[in-house]
Amino acid sequence: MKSNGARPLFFLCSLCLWPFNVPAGAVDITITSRYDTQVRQARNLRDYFAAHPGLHLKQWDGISLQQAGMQASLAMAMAANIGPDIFETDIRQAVSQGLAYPLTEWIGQDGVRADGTLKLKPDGTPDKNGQIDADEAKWPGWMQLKPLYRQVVTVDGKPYALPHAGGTYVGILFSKSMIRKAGLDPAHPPQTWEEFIRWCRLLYNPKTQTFGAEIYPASWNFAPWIATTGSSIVVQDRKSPRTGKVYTFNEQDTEFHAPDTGEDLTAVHPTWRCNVASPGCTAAIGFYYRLRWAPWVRDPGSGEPLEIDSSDASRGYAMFRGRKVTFQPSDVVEGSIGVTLNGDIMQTLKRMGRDLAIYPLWAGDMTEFEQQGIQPDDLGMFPFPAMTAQQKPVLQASNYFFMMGKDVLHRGGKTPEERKRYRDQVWEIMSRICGVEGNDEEIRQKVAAGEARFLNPRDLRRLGFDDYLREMPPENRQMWNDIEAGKIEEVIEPYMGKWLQFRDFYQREAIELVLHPSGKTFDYVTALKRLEHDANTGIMFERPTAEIDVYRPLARTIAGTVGAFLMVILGLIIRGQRRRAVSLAGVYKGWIPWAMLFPAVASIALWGYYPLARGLVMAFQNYKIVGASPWVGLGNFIGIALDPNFYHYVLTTFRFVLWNLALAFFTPILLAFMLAEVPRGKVFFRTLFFLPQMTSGLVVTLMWKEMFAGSPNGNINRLISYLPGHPAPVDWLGNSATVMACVILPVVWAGAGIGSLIYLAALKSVPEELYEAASIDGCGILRKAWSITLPTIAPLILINFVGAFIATFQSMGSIFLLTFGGPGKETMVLGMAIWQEAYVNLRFSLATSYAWILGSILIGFTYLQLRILRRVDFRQAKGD
Amino acid sequence: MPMISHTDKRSPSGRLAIAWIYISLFIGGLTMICPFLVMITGSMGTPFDYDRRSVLPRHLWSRDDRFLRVLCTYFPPAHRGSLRQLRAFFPDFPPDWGSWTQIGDDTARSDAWARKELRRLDNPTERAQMEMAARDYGEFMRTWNLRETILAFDVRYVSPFIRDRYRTLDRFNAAWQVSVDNFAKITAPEWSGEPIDQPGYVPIEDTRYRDLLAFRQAYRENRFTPFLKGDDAPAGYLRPASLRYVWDDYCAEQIRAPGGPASRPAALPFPVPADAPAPVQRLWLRFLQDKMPMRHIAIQVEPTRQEAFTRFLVGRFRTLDYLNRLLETSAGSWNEIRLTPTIPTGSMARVWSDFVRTSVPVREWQVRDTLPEKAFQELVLRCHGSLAKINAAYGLKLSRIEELTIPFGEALLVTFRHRERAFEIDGITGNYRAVIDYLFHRGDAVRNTLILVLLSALVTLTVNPLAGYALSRFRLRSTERLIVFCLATMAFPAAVSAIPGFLLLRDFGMLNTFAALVLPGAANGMTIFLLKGFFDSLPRELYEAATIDGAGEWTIFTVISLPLVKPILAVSLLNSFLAAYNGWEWAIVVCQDPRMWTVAVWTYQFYQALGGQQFVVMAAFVLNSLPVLLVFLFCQKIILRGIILPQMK
Repeated sequence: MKSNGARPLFFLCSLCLWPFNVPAGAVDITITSRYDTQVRQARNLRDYFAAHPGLHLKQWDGISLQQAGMQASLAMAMAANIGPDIFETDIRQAVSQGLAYPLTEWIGQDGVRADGTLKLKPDGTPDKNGQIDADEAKWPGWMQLKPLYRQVVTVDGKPYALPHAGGTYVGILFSKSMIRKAGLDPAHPPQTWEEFIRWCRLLYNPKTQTFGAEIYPASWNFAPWIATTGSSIVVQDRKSPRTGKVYTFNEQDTEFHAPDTGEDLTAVHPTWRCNVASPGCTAAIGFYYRLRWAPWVRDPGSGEPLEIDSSDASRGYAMFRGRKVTFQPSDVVEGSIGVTLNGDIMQTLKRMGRDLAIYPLWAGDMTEFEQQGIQPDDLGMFPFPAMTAQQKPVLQASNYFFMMGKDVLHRGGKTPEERKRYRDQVWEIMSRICGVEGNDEEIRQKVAAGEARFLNPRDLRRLGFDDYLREMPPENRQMWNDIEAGKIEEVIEPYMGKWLQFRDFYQREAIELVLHPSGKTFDYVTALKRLEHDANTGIMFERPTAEIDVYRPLARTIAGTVGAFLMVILGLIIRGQRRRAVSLAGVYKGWIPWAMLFPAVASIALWGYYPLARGLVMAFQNYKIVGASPWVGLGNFIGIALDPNFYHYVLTTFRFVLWNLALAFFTPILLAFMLAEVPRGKVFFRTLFFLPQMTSGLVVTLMWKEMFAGSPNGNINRLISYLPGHPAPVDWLGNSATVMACVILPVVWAGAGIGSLIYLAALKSVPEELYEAASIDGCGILRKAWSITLPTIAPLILINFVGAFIATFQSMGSIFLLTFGGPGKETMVLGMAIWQEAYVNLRFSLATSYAWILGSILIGFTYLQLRILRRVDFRQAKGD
Repeated sequence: MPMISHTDKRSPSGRLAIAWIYISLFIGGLTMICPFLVMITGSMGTPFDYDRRSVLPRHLWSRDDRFLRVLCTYFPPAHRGSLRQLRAFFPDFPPDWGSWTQIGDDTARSDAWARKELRRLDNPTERAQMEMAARDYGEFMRTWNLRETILAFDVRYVSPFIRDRYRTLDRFNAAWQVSVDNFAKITAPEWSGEPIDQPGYVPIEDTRYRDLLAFRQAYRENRFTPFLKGDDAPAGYLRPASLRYVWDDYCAEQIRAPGGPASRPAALPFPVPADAPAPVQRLWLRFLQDKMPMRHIAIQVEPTRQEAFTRFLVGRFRTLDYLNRLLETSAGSWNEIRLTPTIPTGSMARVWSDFVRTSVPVREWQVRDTLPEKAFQELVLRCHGSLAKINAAYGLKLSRIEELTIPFGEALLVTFRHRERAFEIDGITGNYRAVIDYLFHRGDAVRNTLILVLLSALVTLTVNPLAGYALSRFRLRSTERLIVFCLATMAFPAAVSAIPGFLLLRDFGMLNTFAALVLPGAANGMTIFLLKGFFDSLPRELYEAATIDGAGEWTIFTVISLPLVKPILAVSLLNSFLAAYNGWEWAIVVCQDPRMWTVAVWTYQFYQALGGQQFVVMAAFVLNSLPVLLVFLFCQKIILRGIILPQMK
């Protein structure tokens, strides 16, 4: 008996731990898809690999998830210790979760000189300023990075990332020929908002009623406008240790002197916060509003545009330079820019030079869009004009930053020396990928092709081709010179806080709402205030601990009550199960039953109880996948209670459950009733409704996703186009009015057939005599269904209902595949929110807290379910 | 039993009720079956007909549809300027057709057009003329310079081709200067978009390009398309990089432009000979200057021109040092850089063409034999002897040989007529073959799925039945407590334990193993509870009898008890198969490594990765469904017998 049992188990164990075979001698270094390994390598990298045979750079590929799930793939792999060696994501988020390995081994760190000695102040205390200074840097390339970039990649005095050298600028692209045609001078671009809006209006074509300037609604090309006000989205507060006064600096500042005392505040630890409701940021949104909506007319005399207000509009004339300018209502133009609403940047860009003159976009140099047919001769770029003459114009550099994954620490071999060698190789590859030499070949080709005048002078100088600078068109040269001379403020997108997360909200709830056709009545001031509040209480920056501490006593009381309540229910469950105590006579005392029970009991203990306990502990921690997890007490729960999103999730869950039960639960019952009644073709119809079962849920859901496609080609849109009136195509999954129905429909559709089987079997057990008796009594069909059939199958319905209720509450159904919680947060049910917090944001503690709250909501139902279970017997239904 | 009794059925209300039920069931059944039909039709689709989302595959009965499907594979939408080139070979192809989806939607017009084209083959004289043109075309393509060709290739054949050529990835990576870790991932996107019509385009003579030429050669030999072998199928997927359409477009544009020529000549020669009428000649020279791809141009190199070239070089490069660094040469003097009669490759290409455009009078430019039209015209003239004979053989009325176009359209029609069946089979199976290639070459999807299904079957048959049996067979002191222990975890949502479970798997080092997929769900309290109930219902005398006969506990369990609960075990087995085969939610969390992905995970990945080719995704869906479909077809009985009904005690 023993040997018989052991064999399959042994087989099972050995199969379970199926090993991977890794070829010996070869070293694979992995990198995320930001670097495309299918593209020809730059020479510096090629040379390195030629000198190191056996070393490979490999594209790291995890599961690719849709929409917001992109981040999850990387996060989960990191949590599983199989992350890439080189990766790219938000630096501070990666560092705070311990995903990045600091580059101190190669670059150096704050407080330690390049030769390894400690840097001390005269009084013997460590001399630290949070930055890696020239005498601390081991790597010669460090001081060549821009100061701002050095600041971006440094966290707590340690460097974590390298900026990729091949960056571009976000600026305002323009067509020189069109600007000239409008009588403007491309060599003197607008310096202020006022001049910019004048340009936009002068570029308006009244004949075709097209705007010469257009804006793509996004956060990345709006952020520079904020910088032109002298403000920034994120600011830092630094408290002077001497005077105790708090000074606010912009995120992009690299020097910190108190404006009144001149005190150097570089070494002070800053507090960061989101600032989008500040006067500057509000003014920037206001400028978008004005660009989009402010009405104006053209003064026929001077040709100058002239902004009008509502009283001008009603009386039909406005005062301009002391003259009266009369106009017709048809002369009034609303707004000064167009908006790219279809999301297709490249399509809009192709109009450049034809009917589009100004488009804020990115460019590395003027050959950037040559492939798209934009002639470098005609393309120009100017910085975002300043709010007033007091501020500086702005260009926004956009680079990406590569980091080293934490998993390098365990790779490369068994000895520390081998692992160090591996890390060194990763560093060499990383620094080469980020190096400026990467673009040299392309630049040489462009120069040889006679395009030197369109390039960035910096590259020409670096490669020693200064002579070409002379032939550069003045309007091109001017911008590059201004950058060098510091006349243009260079900024980057926010790097502090969870900008990647916040920018979606910012874009959707502020920028787009101003620019969209409905934006004229949009109250952006209130919206910005709410956004700033949300950003500073979780979305971008964690809520300050002091604020959470205020709620602790209250939270303790509530948690205590809930805990006690849970204990009581749990006690009830256990007692209820144990009520039928039995005598001890005839109890079996051998070891055989225990041996038979062992796999199941051990498995339940390990995979059921241990995770429960650990989850409970995690809910009171701030769990980190690397390093120690600090205790936070009830902090997670307080944070959740104060988070308006949470209530939204709960409400969405209730909506989802309600609709789901109303449709998915009762459809099978109805179907079973109908199938039971048909005299012929029962098997045929049953098989038909069973079809969705013959494929997988994944296929069913994805098939429906295809059908719900928002394009005119989607199946359902095709269908409705045949309806009278030819309704316009509907974006079924992108529309908050339809999305909830769409995520439920596939479940109803697929579940009807299989669900009806059990009721069909139950209906067979209704005694025929009852029906006959009822018929004789003259009862109608409905009457019979109501008073005979329903009561017979009622217990079954009840049991199934409780089960379905609990299951639906926990599940995310087809939401994961269909919408991933979107659009916005429209279908973000708790199950989905848990998944997202855990595997996308790696906030395991928050996710388990959510899960515990969900469990507490359901505990009553679970109790009910267990009680019912004890009162029923399960029997096989009679065969067909 | 039906509520509507036999007597009721005869009453009007009874009849009405039955009719209503049938109608509802019928409509419901229709909604069940239609999506699947759309899926199956879609799985055979191409960019031409997929977006119709029709229920039935029209190409099965419409020859016009079949012809357009074939055209779509010859001029795939992903390739540069596909439809414009198609129109060059079929001059009456409607110019307003901008995408294959649009053509597929416009059934009436596309049918009419295809029918008209195909009808040309029904007239015996015209057919003979077309066969003649097709033969000449086939003759021409047998030896035509591979550099001046366009290949409508199937991406699927790229990786086997490269694998055969290089054998090891290291050699491939070194040659291509990339770092790819799997041959199956090579897509060579630049192979499908040679900008042959751009004036400055000269291919870089590197390994990649040489591989592309070899790939074209393989296609020319029909290595991947065996059904196109033979002389009666002259139009392969390789076609000449014909440029007449660029000239046509240029003329049309100039005529529309103000101050341009008044009207378009009826028959445009290409290339334009020196004795052409003056207006055409003038237009042609302007075309050469503005639009003509410079690789087809040759110039005379004379000493004075070499001097001019040297001056041009000085103007562009300023100093010898610049020149040497930019071109990576080591010239000692300006004169060492020689002017070539034809365009060089690499960085010098732009220098050469800029020089020729600015310093060599366009009248002195000569069109080279590399232009496919020119070469074809010469070949045909050689074969047939004179223009009159060509006109007779082709059924044309050309006034000069330069007006002759390359008869790829005729060759394609002839080929289609001869190979209609083979094309159709290739089209129907194409998407499926793509999916199968992907599954077998990009990981061990099939192996993984088999192992997983096997493992979970094993677990289903051991862990829970053992526990259920033990609880039922033996009276233990703590039986009740054990049941509570097993059931109580149900009180907490799965999400609570999923995250710590994931972390536990990580701590055990079990992520990306089958253990991670199987072990956490191995034991299930509810199943144990159900099984215990079924074991309870077996008569206890059985055990006693067996014990008296000397059977051990193991024998009693395996030989006596298990067979008696077979229906329930069969259903559990079926369910475990379905869960293992279809499961992907847990798998994408605990098995990130592509080497561990099962068919279900791959199907999900297909959907993510091949978003632009939904027809391939649909084929993946159909293939994914097949095993489940088979299992259900054979297990209907088991399902029906395994339905468990709860009854109040």
